[in-house]
Amino acid sequence: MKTSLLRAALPLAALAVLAVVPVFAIDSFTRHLFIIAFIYAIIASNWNLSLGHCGVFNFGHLTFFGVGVYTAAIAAKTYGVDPWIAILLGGPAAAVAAFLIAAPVARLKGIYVVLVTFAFGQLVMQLVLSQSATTGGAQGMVRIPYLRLGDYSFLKDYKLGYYYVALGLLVVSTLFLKLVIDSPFGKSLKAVRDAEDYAAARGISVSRQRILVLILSAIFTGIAGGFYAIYLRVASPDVFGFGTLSLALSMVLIGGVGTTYGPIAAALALTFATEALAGIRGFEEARFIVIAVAMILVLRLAPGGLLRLLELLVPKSLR
Amino acid sequence: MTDPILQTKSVTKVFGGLTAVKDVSFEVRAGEIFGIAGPNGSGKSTLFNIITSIPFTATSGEIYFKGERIDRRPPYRIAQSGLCRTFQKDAEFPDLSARETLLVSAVYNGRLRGGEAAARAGRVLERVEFSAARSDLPSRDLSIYEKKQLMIASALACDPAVLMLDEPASGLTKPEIGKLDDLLVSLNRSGITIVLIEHVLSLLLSVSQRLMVLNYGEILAAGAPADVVKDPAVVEAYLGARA
Repeated sequence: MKTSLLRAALPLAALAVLAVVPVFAIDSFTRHLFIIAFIYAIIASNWNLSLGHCGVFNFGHLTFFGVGVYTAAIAAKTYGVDPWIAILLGGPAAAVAAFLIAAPVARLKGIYVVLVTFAFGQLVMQLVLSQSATTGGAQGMVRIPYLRLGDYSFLKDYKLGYYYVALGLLVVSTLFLKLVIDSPFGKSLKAVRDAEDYAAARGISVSRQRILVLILSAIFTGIAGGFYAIYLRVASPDVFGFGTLSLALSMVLIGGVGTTYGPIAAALALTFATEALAGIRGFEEARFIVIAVAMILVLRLAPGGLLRLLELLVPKSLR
Repeated sequence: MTDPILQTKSVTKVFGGLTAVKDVSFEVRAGEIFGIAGPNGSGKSTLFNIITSIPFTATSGEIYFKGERIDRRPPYRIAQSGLCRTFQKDAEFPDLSARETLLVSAVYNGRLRGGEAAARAGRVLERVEFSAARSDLPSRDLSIYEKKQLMIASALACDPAVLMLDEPASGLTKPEIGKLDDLLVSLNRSGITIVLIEHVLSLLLSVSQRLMVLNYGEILAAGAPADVVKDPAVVEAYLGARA
């Protein structure tokens, strides 16, 4: 099978650029923005696995992220688990949460999936709020242990270490997604998304694929949550909020549902765009309206997302 | 007489006040081409749907495949057991190429892995004479005939014991129907039992060894094709009552 030149070269070029960014961006704020963008990129691209590739309207995806946040926070702070391990624990914890939500929604369709998954997110948030002895309730958890590598402290390097850990997580997550999407399993997801009955007639269990895709999409989302908690040293119920959810969703939709790199590119672009807009007087809150309008325009004018639009604009010989 | 490979016993499907299939019992023998005809709305596709449990099951009755009852199995299990169907309306996986469609079918239904599945996909594409130059295009870009070829090919990639074809000739030109005729006979000679729903009577009568006609969800006539088409009840169902 032919691998297009553009598709193979662009991600590697982008990675090379991102790898040298800290050399030029030496201030911790710019690096912080990149780190947040990488985290959102992991969330959005993994959400795209279930939503874009399998057509599961899972509006509880940020719940997996929140589960990762609180798992790492509780593990590291309450139980003294090494922060590196605490980050990784976010993955299996989110996968378990995904299994719990997947079982009831596997046989549901359309709006019912949206309702049940959104309700599940609210349920987990209420659980976090109500168990304040463990989770800190509405106040959340602070002063979560930070990362160390031997004697090297990640607190005193202007976020250089966190930058590369976040970038590394994004690379591993993307390789994982590529592996899944390019496998027969990944192709079966598209079959389920586009023609459920035909897929069943070819031996594919529709409900099993939906359960599996939700679990797989949760693993790196949970790890990203774990990293978020250790990096910011805070676990707050805000991560379950509608604002975070809508921002991540806009990254999936603007970047391109069903594309591999679209949500990642959109996460980088939107993180910096919202930050730039926040710096303009009067746009502190209005920036979210701008993002919403951008999302509507993209859905109306380029339903495949900006990456698909870009592909159409590039000459065929370069694709 | 050969044992039946597929058998229905008094299957009925009711939608609200409408009985789409009523008390239908028939059997298909291993190795034959069994034709099903009937006017529009006579219950042919509904019968396929309830046999394969896609997208719904029978209201009552029993279905046996290779001697085992299958009407309570999930649809993907029925397909995996070797009972594979096509659809009347164009069904496709628009983002997958023909090769990928067959690969998925071989992996999930044929229980093959990697290289074996890819090899089977290649063999099946050759067998249905699918254009090699177009086998890596997304299915959405294929012609009507290629989509029909692909639907049959994807069923073949499942290595079926029984192939259930729902109006495969609809929308095809005469030369294309001729090719389809050759393909069905060739598949049957290789040992695949075929159940064929078809409105193109020339094709149906040419390939079927036995024929069943449905009308208003009930069996109107069944037997040798030459006898069935002369049955006065069948003539009336198709042409209307004599004045």
